[in-house]
Amino acid sequence: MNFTFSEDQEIFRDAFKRYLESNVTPEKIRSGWEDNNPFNQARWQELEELGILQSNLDEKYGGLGLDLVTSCLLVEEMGYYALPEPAAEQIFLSNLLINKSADIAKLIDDKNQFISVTHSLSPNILFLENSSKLINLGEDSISIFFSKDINGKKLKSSDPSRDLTNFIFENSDSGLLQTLNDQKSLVNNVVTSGMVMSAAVLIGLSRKILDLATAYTLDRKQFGKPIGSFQAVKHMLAQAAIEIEFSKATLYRAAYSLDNENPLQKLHAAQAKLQAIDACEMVSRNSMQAHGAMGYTWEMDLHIFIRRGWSYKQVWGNKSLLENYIMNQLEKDLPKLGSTYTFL
Amino acid sequence: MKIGFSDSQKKFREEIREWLEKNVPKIPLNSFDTKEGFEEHREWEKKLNSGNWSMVTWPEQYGGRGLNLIEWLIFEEEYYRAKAPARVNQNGVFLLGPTLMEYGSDKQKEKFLSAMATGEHIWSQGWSEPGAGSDMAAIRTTAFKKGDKYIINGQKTWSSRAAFADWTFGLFRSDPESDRHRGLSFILVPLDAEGVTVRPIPQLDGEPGFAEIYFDDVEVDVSNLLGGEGEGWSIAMATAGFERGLMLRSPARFQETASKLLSLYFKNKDNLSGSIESKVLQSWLRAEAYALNIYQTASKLMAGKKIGPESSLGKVFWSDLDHQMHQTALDILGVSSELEEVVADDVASWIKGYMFSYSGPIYAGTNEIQKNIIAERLLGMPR
Repeated sequence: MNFTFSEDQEIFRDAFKRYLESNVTPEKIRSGWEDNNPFNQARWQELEELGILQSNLDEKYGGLGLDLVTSCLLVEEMGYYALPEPAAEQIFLSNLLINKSADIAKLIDDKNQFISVTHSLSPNILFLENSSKLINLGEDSISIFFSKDINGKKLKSSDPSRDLTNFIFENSDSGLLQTLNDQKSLVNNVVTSGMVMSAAVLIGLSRKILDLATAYTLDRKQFGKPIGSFQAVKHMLAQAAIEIEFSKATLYRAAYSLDNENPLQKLHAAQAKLQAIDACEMVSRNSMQAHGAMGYTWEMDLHIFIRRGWSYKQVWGNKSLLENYIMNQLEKDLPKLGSTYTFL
Repeated sequence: MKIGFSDSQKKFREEIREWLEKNVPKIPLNSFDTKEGFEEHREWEKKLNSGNWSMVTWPEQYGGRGLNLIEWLIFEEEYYRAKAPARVNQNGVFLLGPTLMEYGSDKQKEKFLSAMATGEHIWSQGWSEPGAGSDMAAIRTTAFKKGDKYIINGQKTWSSRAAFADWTFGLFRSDPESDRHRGLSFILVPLDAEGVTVRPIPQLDGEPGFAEIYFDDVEVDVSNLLGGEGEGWSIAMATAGFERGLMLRSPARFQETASKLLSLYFKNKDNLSGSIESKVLQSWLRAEAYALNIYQTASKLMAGKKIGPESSLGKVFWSDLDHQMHQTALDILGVSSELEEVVADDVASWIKGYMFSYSGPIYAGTNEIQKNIIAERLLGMPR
């Protein structure tokens, strides 16, 4: 039992963090919003040069072959800095599909391009125009399309960093490259991975939101002192810190279970996502409250992060779906519950 | 990262499981907050010790097994699985024991550690006073040195287990000129000393789980001073650190409660509303989250990292969780939940646990104090 990260994992994460710190600032995110073009192609190339995009891609496809525990740390930081480009999706969804299926790997000849992945849990196409291909996951089939041939309807997200397109796949062959059948277990695997990915984004966002709130309460003075010195404010943010702390280990265990194809990986992923949803909700609410009216403005950067959470809470497993899944699973596994089964 | 148990850890689990299956009393003991139950639990401590299971985390030189934290978590999991008796001497085993090993003289270690391990000395805590609760530095009970004795005068309160315990440990003001956290000393006091009056305080369940201790010119030998005179505060902080940390509240206890709650829920589910379902689910989820967090923390500690104020995060988390789980169980049990009787669904244990769960957010530093610590020391918010 060694539930810690290796030095290499931490070094890689920290190097990536330094890149994000100077290259993904709220100003740059806002300028993408203003240009109506949140996907910055230059930054996407930088992410490739840094090895981030292909970090978990198998070495035989030119990737670094790192595990999803490492990816999880990277994606957490993408959340922390609200990176608009869909690198988290590339790692946890399309790279995973390529790694797990030689058929798909053959069809995706441009692995450094963004490949958008949709499923009923995340049906709107993310960054269609910035993607080269689109993979639509059915219940047990997987279809690969050329993105340029898809003519969908643009949708406006409450997060301007998310470019979304609606498209009805049924009965449409437009741009279809190939459909693979009998893919149920792979689809299930990608859905599980999507849960872990979105949970990691939420935890990163939550950490950032709390950091912003803490900094604000040190800065903002009322009654002659920083509002952070008042217990009502302290306790609100302390509770937020508690929620974040107790979501992390669940998240890392879920990533570890994915890497090791643990038979309970989907349950672990659902736990991680549900914990992360609850954490992000409380952290967002308490942090906005700590900001007072300033938190409710467009000018303050806080909402860049909070609204991103609104989306990631719902895609790749929302509360209702996760609760139902976990409850059914628990009823089935009842005899195997209890402390002695935590790691079985 | 490698999550899972090694073969030797699995073997250790088998070993403790087997011993407990053979030795845990088939009929539950009386509560250790009754005279009769206290002695039954003392016997159990002796029994544990006979199998060398009483002080598993203590180093071998002090009669322990020198278990590391992961092994200790396994031990606890098996202990709760076997429904073994509560540890009447936890003040000694988990709080004073490690403190003695760090600060005690060889003579003190010799005198107290093995008596603690066998259950011969059961310890109570003497921190709080009527005017010193959350503000512990306001302690006024004095222990002034006279020759080779300390003369103790004053009053302690909320002393857990003091109604029937043999000894108490706590902080006393040894420097008459001092105030706040300076001039305090950590002293061990036998409760049968002349001038000690123990007045038990019945708790919410009606049993005297804690007591007031009055000291009226009580003479204690100077050899009962732990560490240096006037160094009591820093030693007490170390003790409180142990308490808030892993040792006192292992995750197994909450996971077992969560499983019990799930069973209760599935048995009655046809008559229950959605809000109950979601609370049951939350309980299980959070008990698991706590366990995973503790395994991660234990791994970090074993890799040589330190934890400090982080332990306050856990204290708030588990105490809120414990209350929520018991509250939900009572909501499922409905009208029978008030019955302190042995009836179906283990009703009596739920209502007892529910009462006890009210104390979690209060003892070992209230959750409000913990949140101040989190805000000030982890988040860097101003005092």
